[in-house]
Amino acid sequence: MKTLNLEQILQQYFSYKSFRTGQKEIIQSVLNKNHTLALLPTGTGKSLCYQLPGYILDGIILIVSPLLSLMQDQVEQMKLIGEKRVVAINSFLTFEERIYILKHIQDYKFIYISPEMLQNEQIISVLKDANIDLLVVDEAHCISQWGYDFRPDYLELGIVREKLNNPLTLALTATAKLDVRKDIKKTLLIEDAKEYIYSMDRPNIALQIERIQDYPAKLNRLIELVDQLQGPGIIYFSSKKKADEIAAIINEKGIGQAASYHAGLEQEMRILLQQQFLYNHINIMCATSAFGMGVNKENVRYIIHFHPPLNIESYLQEIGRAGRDGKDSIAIMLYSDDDYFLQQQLIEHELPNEKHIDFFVNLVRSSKGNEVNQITKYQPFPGFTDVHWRLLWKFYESSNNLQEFQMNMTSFIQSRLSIKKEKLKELTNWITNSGCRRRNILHLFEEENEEVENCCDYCGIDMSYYEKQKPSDQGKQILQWKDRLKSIFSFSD
Amino acid sequence: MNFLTVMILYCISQFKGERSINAVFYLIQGKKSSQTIQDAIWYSLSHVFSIYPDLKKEQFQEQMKKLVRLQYIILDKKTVQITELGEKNLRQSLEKYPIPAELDGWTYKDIDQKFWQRLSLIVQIVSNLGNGDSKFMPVQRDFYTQKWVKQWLYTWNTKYNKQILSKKLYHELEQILSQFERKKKNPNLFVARLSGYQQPGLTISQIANIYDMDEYYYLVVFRSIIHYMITIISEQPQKYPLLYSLIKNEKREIVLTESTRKTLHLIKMDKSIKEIAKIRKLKESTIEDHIVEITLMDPTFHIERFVNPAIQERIRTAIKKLNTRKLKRIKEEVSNADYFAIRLVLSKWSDRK
Ligand SMILES: [Zn+2]
Repeated sequence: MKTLNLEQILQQYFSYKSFRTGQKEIIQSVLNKNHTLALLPTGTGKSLCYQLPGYILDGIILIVSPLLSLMQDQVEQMKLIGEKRVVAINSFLTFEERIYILKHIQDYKFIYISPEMLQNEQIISVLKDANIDLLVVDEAHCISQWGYDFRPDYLELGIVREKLNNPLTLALTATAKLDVRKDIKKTLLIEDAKEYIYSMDRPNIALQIERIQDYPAKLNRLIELVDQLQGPGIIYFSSKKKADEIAAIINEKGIGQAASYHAGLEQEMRILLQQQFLYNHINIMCATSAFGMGVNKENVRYIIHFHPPLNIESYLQEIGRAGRDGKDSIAIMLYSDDDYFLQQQLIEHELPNEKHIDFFVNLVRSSKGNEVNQITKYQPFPGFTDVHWRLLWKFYESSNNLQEFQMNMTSFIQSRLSIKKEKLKELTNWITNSGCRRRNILHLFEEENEEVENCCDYCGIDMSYYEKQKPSDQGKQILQWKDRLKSIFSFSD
Repeated sequence: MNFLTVMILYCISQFKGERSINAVFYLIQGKKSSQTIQDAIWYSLSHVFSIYPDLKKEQFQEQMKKLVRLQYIILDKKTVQITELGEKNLRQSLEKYPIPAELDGWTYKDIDQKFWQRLSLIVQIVSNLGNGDSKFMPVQRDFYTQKWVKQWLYTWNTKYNKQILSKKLYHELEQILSQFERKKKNPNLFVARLSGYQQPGLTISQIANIYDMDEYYYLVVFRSIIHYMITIISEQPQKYPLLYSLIKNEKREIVLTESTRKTLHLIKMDKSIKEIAKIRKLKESTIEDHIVEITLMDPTFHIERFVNPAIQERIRTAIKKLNTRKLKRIKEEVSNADYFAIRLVLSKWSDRK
């Protein structure tokens, strides 16, 4: 193979001068036609690892990704860097759109696809003839039953890979312990894959946990922090109602320009809020976990968890959205003992419950032999999440009869619940244990930590690093409509 | 009471206790069935047709419970009625937050959304390209909208370069919004939502907050501005060529069921109801239903050949006097009219707003 100047390609297509940790090694491994398993922590540019090879390899880069909204963001971001040959195939597409895309498949270079779409024989047969040079499995930890975010559709990726004639494969993840990594390679049938594992540690992010008595005290402390800390910041909540409420309080008190972001917003509003945050029109995002993925903002200075996440992996992903520019940032978790019960509830909510199963069974019975099945398959009924719906269908379709379905489904849920509860316990232990936070968290990933100046609340943090430099501007002016229209249409020469 | 509640109450009031709660829900959500369309037109509610297309059944039911609790409405098995207390509160709310006169949900039901999606994306693209930035996050992600806009830009770019196109678009928007402002309205309620180069628009809730409205009211006001713009543009297409080109191929099509279309074809061949029924092997009453549907859908359709003008006039007087849409009561008043005639008159002459 002729030697390529990867830096030049990086500059030309992505306008970056140099690679971040790990990127170049992973890209080279792929270009040398090695199956590759790469673990790069959140916020360090995973997607570049398959996007750049796209400009060197002749064929299509097929990217499997489980998160629909993230997929849309990634497609738009590729378009941003001037790449028009990019598309997402998922259940958002209408039938006509899907047909159009499949017919023009050779016009695309980067194809994002959701795992359930790979169960579709028509799609597989088109992809099989489409010259795929690289299969990318993003969020590859979803393959593992031991992982915090297991998706049964991912289990079939090994078979899918065979059907696609075993293309060169890159499995990417931000968090995976040893057993999960083994699972990934085994399932994808890439046991000879080269592994590139980079530290989960983000030394420029200080870790702080504050144990707090009750809700009112938490709220007071949050207000205090928002008032003191240099933005921009993201505050994570487990409910959209709380996110709304507290954004309103922050705005009312005039201590920041806040907005609330959650999955309940329609897409246009979500895009506007992301952009406002990016251009610093708002500096505090009160968000649920729906926010952050795909938001490439370099200068987020703090992450506050008003409610804790459900496991260590999600925590690391969420705090990873701070300090992408490498500058000092801080992650603060406000924890009260009551939170544990809330978290347990949320865990149970993530999976279908008995009522859901019964409802589903009745639905199937009443539409037996009817086409209703196909129509409702991609549209969850009210009261069901996408994940619920997908799981129910998945198990229904792989069972011989309803009785078997009920049994399999129930036992699956039981086992997922117990794994998720263990994961929660792990997080809770980390919060309540004493000792260096960084050391403790890295220990869970079989890693040693290096010494960091502003490490954690246990080792001591100099808060002056994170305090507001200058008072924030008092709310932005509402422009007169003529001025705003003029400024939208005004051109720099 | 938020404005969603107000709108529900408004529909209930207009229905005069003659329709069910489902009829209210379908009207607000904009169900395209001939029953809902008939309700909208007979009861002068076509302007609020499809006013909240995303309304969920659960949300609606919550509102109904609230209204019952407040004793603003009374539910019985089949219908829903507004109370005096409800009527009083409705009047007060509408005084403070009037339904914008420009609102015309029925006429613009399919076009308004498209108009906004296309326009907002075009403005954003023109603004960014004008500043040499082709790397921006499009505010509209809909596949067809993006494709359509691409084609639109391509077509106009063969005529004007990007500077001129931008100037012209700016000029058209400035003109139409100034005209709107002269009606003592605030164009910023529209402009604040536009996104341009490095200046994302505000969200619905942000704007509602700034202008101290509830979000439901802002949604209605925003939509009414869009309706205003489309009305003006359609009246003066030569003055607004760019804006007009956003909607000119979007026919406000008259959607008839297949069977009704066949009937219409025969009507145009001057066949009588009897003849049509015979040809089509259908009951006469079915053909009558078709003719009512046509009258509802097509304001230009004449009913004189089915009801003579004198009877039409008597029915109209009776409707006004009795203030009802109950066929039976109207028939009692105008004994020589049949039900078909009454339905046609209601469909043809109900004050559409
Ligand atoms: Zn430490």
